[in-house]
Amino acid sequence: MKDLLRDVMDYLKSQGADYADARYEEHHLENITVENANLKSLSYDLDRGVGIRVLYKGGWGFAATDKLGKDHIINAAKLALEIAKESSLRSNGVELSEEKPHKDVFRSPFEKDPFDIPTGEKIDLLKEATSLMMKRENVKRSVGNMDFRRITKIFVNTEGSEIGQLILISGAGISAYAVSEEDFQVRSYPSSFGGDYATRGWEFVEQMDLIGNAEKVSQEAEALLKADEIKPGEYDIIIDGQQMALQVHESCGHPTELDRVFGYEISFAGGSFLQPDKLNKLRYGSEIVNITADATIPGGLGSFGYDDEGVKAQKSFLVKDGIFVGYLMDRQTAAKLGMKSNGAARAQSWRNIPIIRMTNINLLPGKETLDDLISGIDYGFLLSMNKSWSIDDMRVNFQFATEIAYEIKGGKLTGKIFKNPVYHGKTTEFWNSCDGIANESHWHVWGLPNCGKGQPMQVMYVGHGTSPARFRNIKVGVAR
Amino acid sequence: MRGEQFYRGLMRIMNDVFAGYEFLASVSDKKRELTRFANSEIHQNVSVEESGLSVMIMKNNKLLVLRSNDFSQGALKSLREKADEMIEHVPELPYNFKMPPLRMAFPFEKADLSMKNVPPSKRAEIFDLIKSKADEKELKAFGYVANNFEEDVVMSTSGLFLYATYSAVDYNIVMMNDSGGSSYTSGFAKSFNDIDIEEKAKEVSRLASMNIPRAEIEPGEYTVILGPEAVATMFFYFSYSALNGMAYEIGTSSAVKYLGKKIGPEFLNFYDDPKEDRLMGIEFDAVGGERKKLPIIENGEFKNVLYAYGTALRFGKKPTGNTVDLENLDLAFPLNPVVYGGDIPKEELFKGIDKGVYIHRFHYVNIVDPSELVLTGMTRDGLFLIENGEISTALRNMRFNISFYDMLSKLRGMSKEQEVINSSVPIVVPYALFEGFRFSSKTDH
Repeated sequence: MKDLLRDVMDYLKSQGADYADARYEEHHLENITVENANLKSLSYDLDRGVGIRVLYKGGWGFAATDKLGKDHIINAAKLALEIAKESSLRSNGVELSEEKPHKDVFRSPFEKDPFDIPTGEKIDLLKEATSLMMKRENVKRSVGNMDFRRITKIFVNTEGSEIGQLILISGAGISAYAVSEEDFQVRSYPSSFGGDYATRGWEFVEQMDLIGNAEKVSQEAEALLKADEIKPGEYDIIIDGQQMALQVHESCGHPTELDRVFGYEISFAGGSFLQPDKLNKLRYGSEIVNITADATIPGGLGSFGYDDEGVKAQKSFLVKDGIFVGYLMDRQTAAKLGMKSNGAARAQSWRNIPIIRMTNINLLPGKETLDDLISGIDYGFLLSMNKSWSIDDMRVNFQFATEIAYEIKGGKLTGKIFKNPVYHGKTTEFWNSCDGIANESHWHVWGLPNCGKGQPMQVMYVGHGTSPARFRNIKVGVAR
Repeated sequence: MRGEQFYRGLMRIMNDVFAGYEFLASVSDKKRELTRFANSEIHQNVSVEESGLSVMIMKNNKLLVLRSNDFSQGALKSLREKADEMIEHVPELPYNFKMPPLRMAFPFEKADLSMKNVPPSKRAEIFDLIKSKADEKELKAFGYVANNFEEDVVMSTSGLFLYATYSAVDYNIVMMNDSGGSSYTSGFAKSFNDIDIEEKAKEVSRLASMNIPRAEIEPGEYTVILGPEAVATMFFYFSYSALNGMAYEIGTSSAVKYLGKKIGPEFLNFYDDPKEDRLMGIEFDAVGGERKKLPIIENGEFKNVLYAYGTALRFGKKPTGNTVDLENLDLAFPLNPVVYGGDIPKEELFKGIDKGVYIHRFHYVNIVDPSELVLTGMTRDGLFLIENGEISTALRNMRFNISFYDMLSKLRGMSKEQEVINSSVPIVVPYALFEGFRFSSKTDH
């Protein structure tokens, strides 16, 4: 396939293309869902194809096909060129930042290939976890799922790059749904909306200990049925690592995407308040807030060897000592700022063009323990596990709901829980109220497999390294 | 496109390859092309041709789904080997699974053949038209226009064979002024001949020109008119959160409290209607189930939830023809949703309001409390005061938190005019007037 794609690059160059690249991708997926200790679905998916991108006189064209004969791929190349020619008549001219050619192979690190683990063993694990959760009288539905993906990529471009990558993804999680006549509540572990994910192997799932955590999950789901809601007001809060991942994702990851800043997502995902005049000037958060984009973290869900423009994975700061200092960039947007891409161009599959996506966007750890953070609150709450999210199109006004809130009084957790907690605020006010971040021992890279962006919509897997953090005077609860 | 006979041949091959299993396969082949523009220039222009085969196989009441985008005999044989390997580990289902019954029909040739080969210049022409309307008012144009042509087939060992072709055009348009104020529209049709982009673009440019926020309102309750984009979003979340029969049966849906009850005024009617000509008119669901016009809300009463094939089997219900995916036979969704309009012309709906707010569109809506279907989200692309029956001052955007059912209980009118909105699935909706719509906080723009 690599030789064929190399021939296609030579052909496109001969036809006057200023730049072209091609990606062959092959995705193998296995998905298992168990519900109430019964297998609900087991599926296997093979998806492969080629996407070819052409830049001609400043205009882009892209054509993709899953018909892999030589003629089909050549035709796709011709169509991409024809489309690029049409675009060039209505484009102000695309330029790409410089990138040296790479000839390399990357493999994500794993110990146990999940595709080598017997399917029955995986099903049995989920059956046991969901069975344990069903022991609670009010738990009417328990769900466990596992998701495995093996992605093989070949990338070539007209600048001489030839890159092969093998990326293995594993994910799993459990949820318990407790139901009463008046209400229903959910608790999840280790993460909501399908669990936690990483570019690791079966060992990642083993380390979750889904069975060991099933009892607590179901107990809390049931207890929430009788819990109160928090009286709306301003409180000091601690946000746990999993919810913090969503907070970073929505209020830092997305607004630093440079394509949003330049308006390329106005018709769908929206724009950004982080315009270039704010770069290196805006106090985004308090001095302890440091946020990086780092695609080099071993096992992070947003980790890879090279992005889908052939730019090597790297680490850069987005927020340093509280100041907004950087963007997520691809080659096109970086060139507009006279900068170099920091390797954030990613495509969901062969059928998609690369667009700017998060890699691993991380809130760097602070110095305190979680107990230290709690001890600094007279009355407030520890909010845990994302339940819903919403933020405006410029990424300023946000509102998050979590599955549970734990009461803090006199610097200690009281053991009392509250249901349907909601907190809301504005991005920079919120991050400037951060006065404590838990240390490295509480830090974990959470994997979010479902970030949507672009038209056609692309769903991307991204990572967020976070630990619990404390915020002062945050609006909690909504009158309704 | 491969044509019906190809799939009949594929069915024969699959009968051989999967001998010893019962199977049901959902097969598609499609070409989708999309031109995207921003800042009044084309920045993305793509064409994708792809196939998909999902095959649900059953043996001894064990079920497994395999998918591939390679239809070659070798690939199918590999799938068979994978099936043999995996089925060993699959436990029996806790209920008796039966494959959908025999069903045959003439091919549903619903595609407009003019959509089969669309050159990129066609979408560029549409862009030129949109840009010209934006230029007239010194606005920037953003959005996309896409064309789609596809074949869908469902076949099974029980003799079920259904074939359909569909075509579509979908688009959205945003226009933005120098202050960052914008307006938006979206649409869907079966072919380029069925859309009036010029008219839509004109309306977007009119509202975008007016959207220079000069005022802000305080959180609280307001009389509002929701434009069709905003109405579409609300009914999408109702469909997503409240209509799944599985969630209803196990008690994790707000429908438990509200099904069978009056949730809106007499003039409120919401149907899933495969015969609605303005939509794609999907003729069969993922398992080949027959689709019929189904009342969801009728004369204000919440009449039906939707039963996917698996849920119906488990709970002794009749499938409603809304199964979305072979991988999740409990997932049901209205495929051709229509919110019927009232009898009031749109202008009169506005004229009846001395002071209120017009909400053009929502952004990033999500569910805060599924038991009462409490939704939150932001306004976007146009929030205006209504004064003396007319849209007047543009406002800064607001966040809302409201229960869908509480909102419907304060529905006071719907326009006679409806629009086809390209939401997550295309939907037909009118303008709607509500009292007591609760805004909970402000934002900076």
